[in-house]
Amino acid sequence: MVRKIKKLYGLQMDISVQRTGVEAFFIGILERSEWLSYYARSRGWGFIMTWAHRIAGLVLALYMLFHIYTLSALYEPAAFASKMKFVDNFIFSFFEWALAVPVIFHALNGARLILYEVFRIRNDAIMIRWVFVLSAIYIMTLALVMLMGNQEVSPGFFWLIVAIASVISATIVYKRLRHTQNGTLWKLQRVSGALLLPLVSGHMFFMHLNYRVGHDVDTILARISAPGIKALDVAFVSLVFFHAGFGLYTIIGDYVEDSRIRKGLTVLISFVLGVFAYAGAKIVLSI
Amino acid sequence: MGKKLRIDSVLRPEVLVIGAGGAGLRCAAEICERRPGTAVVAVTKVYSPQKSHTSTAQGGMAAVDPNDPVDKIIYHMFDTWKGSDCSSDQNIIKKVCESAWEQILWLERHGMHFSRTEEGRIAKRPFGGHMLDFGEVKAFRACYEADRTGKGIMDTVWAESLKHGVSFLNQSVATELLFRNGRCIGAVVFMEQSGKFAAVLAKATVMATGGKTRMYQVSSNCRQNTGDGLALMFQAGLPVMDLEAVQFHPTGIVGPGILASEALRGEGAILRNKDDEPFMERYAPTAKDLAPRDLVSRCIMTEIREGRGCIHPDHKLPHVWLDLRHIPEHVHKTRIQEVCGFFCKFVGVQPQHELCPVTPTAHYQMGGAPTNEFGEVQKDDRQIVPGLYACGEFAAASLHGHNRLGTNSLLELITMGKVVGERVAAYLHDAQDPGDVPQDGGQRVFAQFSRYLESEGKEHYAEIRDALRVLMTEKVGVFRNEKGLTDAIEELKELKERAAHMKLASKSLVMNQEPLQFWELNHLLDVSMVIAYCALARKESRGAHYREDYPERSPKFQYHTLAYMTEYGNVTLANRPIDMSIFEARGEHYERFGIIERKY
Amino acid sequence: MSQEYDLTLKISRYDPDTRRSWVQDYRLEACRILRFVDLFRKINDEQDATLAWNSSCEHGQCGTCGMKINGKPLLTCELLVENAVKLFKTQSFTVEPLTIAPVIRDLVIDMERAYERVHLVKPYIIQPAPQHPEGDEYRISPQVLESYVEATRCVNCFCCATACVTQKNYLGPNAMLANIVRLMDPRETAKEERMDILYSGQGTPRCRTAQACSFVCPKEIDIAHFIALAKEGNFG
Ligand SMILES: Cc1cc2nc3c(=O)[nH]c(=O)nc-3n(C[C@H](O)[C@H](O)[C@H](O)COP(=O)(O)OP(=O)(O)OC[C@H]3O[C@@H](n4cnc5c(N)ncnc54)[C@H](O)[C@@H]3O)c2cc1C
Ligand code: HEM
Ligand code: HEM
Ligand code: SF4
Ligand code: F3S
Ligand code: FES
Repeated sequence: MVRKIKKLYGLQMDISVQRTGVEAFFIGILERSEWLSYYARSRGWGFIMTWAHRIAGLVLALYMLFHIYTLSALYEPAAFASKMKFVDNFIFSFFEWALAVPVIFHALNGARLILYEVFRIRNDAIMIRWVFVLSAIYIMTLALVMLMGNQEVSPGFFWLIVAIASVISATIVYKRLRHTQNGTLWKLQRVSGALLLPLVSGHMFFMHLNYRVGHDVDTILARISAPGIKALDVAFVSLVFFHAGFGLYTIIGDYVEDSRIRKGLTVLISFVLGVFAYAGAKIVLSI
Repeated sequence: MGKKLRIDSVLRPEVLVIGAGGAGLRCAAEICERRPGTAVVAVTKVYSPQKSHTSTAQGGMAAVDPNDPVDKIIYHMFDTWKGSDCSSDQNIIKKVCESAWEQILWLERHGMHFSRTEEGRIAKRPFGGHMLDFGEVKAFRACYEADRTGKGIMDTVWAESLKHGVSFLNQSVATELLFRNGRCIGAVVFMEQSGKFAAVLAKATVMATGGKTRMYQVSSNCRQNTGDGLALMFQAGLPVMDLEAVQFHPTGIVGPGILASEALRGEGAILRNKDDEPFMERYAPTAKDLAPRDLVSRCIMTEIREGRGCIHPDHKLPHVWLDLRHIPEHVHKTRIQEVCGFFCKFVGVQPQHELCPVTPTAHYQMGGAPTNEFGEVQKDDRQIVPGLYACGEFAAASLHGHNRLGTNSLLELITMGKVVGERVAAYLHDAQDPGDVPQDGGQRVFAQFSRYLESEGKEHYAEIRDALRVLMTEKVGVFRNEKGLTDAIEELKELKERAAHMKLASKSLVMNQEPLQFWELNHLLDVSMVIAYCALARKESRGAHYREDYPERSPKFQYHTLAYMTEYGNVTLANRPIDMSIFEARGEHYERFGIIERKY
Repeated sequence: MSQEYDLTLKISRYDPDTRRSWVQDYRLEACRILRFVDLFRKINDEQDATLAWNSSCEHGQCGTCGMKINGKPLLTCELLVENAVKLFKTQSFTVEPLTIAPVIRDLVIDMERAYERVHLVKPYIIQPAPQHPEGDEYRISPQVLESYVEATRCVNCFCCATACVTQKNYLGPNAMLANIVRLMDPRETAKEERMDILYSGQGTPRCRTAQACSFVCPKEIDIAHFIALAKEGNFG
């Protein structure tokens, strides 16, 4: 594909945020945040998106540690129930809702990156706008669902759809990446991202749609005793920890020049995340 | 400070290249190709060789493609001869024009990204002064890489030198040439980044320090083109040749002097005066806007002098218009995008819709260090300096005589760079070791730098520099006359005197541009003095050298000027005959190479 | 209609002799089409001769004068006062050296260190293809050339490398570009060697598609596009 010359005699200096148009969309926020506009003007929106992606990824990685820790209480259902009682209030609901922001942003933005990098979708301004629009829709719908309270949606049906969507999206990405010479883990990061996209967004949505499935200890225990869910959850937890682990590994590579320290840190995160992944798998399998 | 300056280290490569521009590195690459493993050190004033001035050349590099059905090398030779106003050396013309295509191929094979024709071959465009059939119709002879030909060349020769392991001393200046028994054995180099001096001792030294026109108000040359190389020649008691021949490019963008390349006129741009008249039709009915540079420059200046120019509202400088509005959009978008962008960037004009302000800008030195056809530097009109070579814009072999055709310079850099490389490789074969640093090595530059460090005077660098620029532009510029030149010489003496009383604001030598600027200003003053002297002595008009009081060319001055200046203002002149070997060989079309009229 | 601006430049300074660094404010008046390099010269001439900065061609063609103005890496010889005021909506500017290499003095950095990254990708033809059977030049169709010619415009100003999210263990956008150009160039045959460099730990995995490189590139090269071509493994 031949790239068009961006602008005829493009007086680049003249155009504050080149190739976006997103700034028109977010101009309100921009003007208020000096910090954001500094970077939007000096590095462009893509730069901000990358940082946001990274921060969201780190938040999610931390959340996963916390998540496995809370789920481990499932070994003692009573304790879990009391914990749940403790968090069953407006403030915690708000946090749960707020968690959707990094989740969906990271998921959709990850999809955008994959589309840009390997599917040649280079009209990025539009893509960035889609990330925001879809994120907003997801977050608002989630809020609505949370306000509506418990719904009874067939978990089997829901999960089937999510699983199919995951497999399809991962297959598409895998096919595209298979013959490239990128590193295997790097490819797997993309493929796992593609798998996670429906999985995580679906998981989170479902946990609030059928409120009890996410919060009522008996319902949870009943659900995960099903072999299908067990298998899915084990796949889920290993994918997430691989993805988070490789994400952290790349970030370390960006900052640590000394190869010994780098190795040390890599071993450390592999160990910690490995332990958590193992613990997570054990929970669903042994209950 | 009282810190004693000394030579901090000694390097011993086999070859020292002073000036890692297009010419210097083409030469380095040739040496390494012929003698793999040769230790070459290349010195450059800039951050990295890639930043050398060659990378700004836009238009193209002339070469006659042997597969071309209509163009012939003899036409190219004729154009060069005619363009030079019968003052270039015919042996050089023959040598350069004949090997031109070979050098294009060298560049292409080493990775230069030439623009292509539909068949995938190297594309060519017409350029000022290049004609078919001895001046009849315009020739497609300039091979180009969009509008960044020089950059393509620079990248290619830089990368080739890198591949061959040439080592670079970046942000370093050669401050003094070293000699032993008349043989050049290297140079003292000042390394700006560390503030230290090194002696580089080599069997052969190649100088390729490029141009020098920073002494003019409006100049297309880069900040580093301050005539250092020429000054080193004076200091070593060596001559320079034809310094009076300074080319003014007709279409510099008003203000910063950035070129609106001939390529624009090649693509059909038209010059207009304030009444919108395409005035070049009046002066050069055939070639019109593609007439040679000196002619177009003078036409523009005449228009301005006779009141048909405009004054730029911001820069307050007089100018005429360049009209690009009728050029098709796809040409704007593909072939001249970068150059047109200059107007937009530097004067806020949209060339596709508006007229662009242009004015003549000091551009090129035709003269320089006199060399023979192998690029060996000459002591006088016949003897050479062993171990010292020169090529590129710095040298005068001379291909350009008193006026250069556009695109011939890049051609000269590359061909002469190669020739010198060949010669040096052969010379290295049984050249003696340069020995140790001579006793007085560096003493001259240390004295000079110590003076700067100790000076307590009241003069300001910027004032002297600006005064020099105004002086040179007014009195030694496009138009010259006896009175102006005599005055200029006197004023230059005063300026030199004042320059001895500049005081440093900071006495550090580490990456301190101030002492270096003082040093460069001295060179500009030296070179300006010689230009003025040579211009005064040449009582005729020839090529770019135009005397209002002697507007015609005169057979009495049918020679190259050699000038020596061992002491400021004390210039000794001599001559070197112009080589007429093509004419004398009496081959086909030889009559075209006689003393012909130069009319377009 | 020449308008004068009242400017404040906050310039980062560093003195290698005392190893002191500080920010110095300069106030100056300038007309609308002066460039930033002209402003520095003006400061040297009128206020402070010790301020060190670097430029060469002042045509925007060599890539020597890259600096960060209000955080944006750009070529200061191309930035007119008028445009800067429009772009940053202020008459006060911070001027900092690029961050890809250590500072030597004030605004001058050790470009040699920066260039080491470019040298790693071998910016020349490693192994030339055999000649065209009919001799002379290689034949490269304009369409093929067109697919990578934009990337050949890079002047190694390192603005992109300064803007990029990844600063360490990375070749940097411009060196990546130099490698990719030769991968796309039909005259180069050492593709394997280039691929190895490209996909190594210092290559593609370090690029996060932040596109800040494309955003700041004064030559308007869409570097992110070329790097993405590499990730996609399809240079056609
Ligand atoms: C804007 C512009 C456009 C042009 N367009 C064309 C064109 O289209 N076609 C054409 O044929 N020609 C063109 N020219 C002319 C041509 O580009 C130059 O003549 C040519 O580039 C000179 O090359 P060089 O190698 O001799 O010198 P340069 O490339 O100038 O290199 C000189 C080198 O010497 C170094 N140096 C200088 N002094 C010292 C010192 N004291 N110590 C150490 N190093 C030193 C410099 O740092 C530099 O590396 C153009 C010129 C300009 C300015
Ligand atoms: C939901 C679907 C997801 C998708 C589509 C996705 C996609 C991606 C992609 C493509 C990257 C690579 C970015 C890059 O290197 O430039 C990435 C990085 C990362 N992801 Fe995800 N991801 C998803 C979910 C998650 C989850 C659940 C976590 C945490 C548990 C996570 C943590 C990370 C981290 C830490 C990084 C590294 C960020 C960086 O390099 O700056 N991701 N993700
Ligand atoms: C606040 C919203 C969330 C709630 C209420 C919630 C709830 C739960 C519950 C109840 C389980 C138990 C297993 C099951 O029923 O399948 C579970 C498992 C899991 N959740 Fe969440 N979750 C939330 C958000 C997330 C997010 C954002 C992620 C991804 C980053 C995530 C990743 C996982 C994983 C990987 C498992 C499987 C754990 C295992 O196998 O041990 N969850 N979640
Ligand atoms: S890619 Fe652009 S920004 Fe980067 S070095 Fe090259 S010209 Fe500069
Ligand atoms: S800014 Fe850096 S992250 Fe990649 S797209 Fe450009 S190289
Ligand atoms: S000085 Fe050459 S790009 Fe600015």
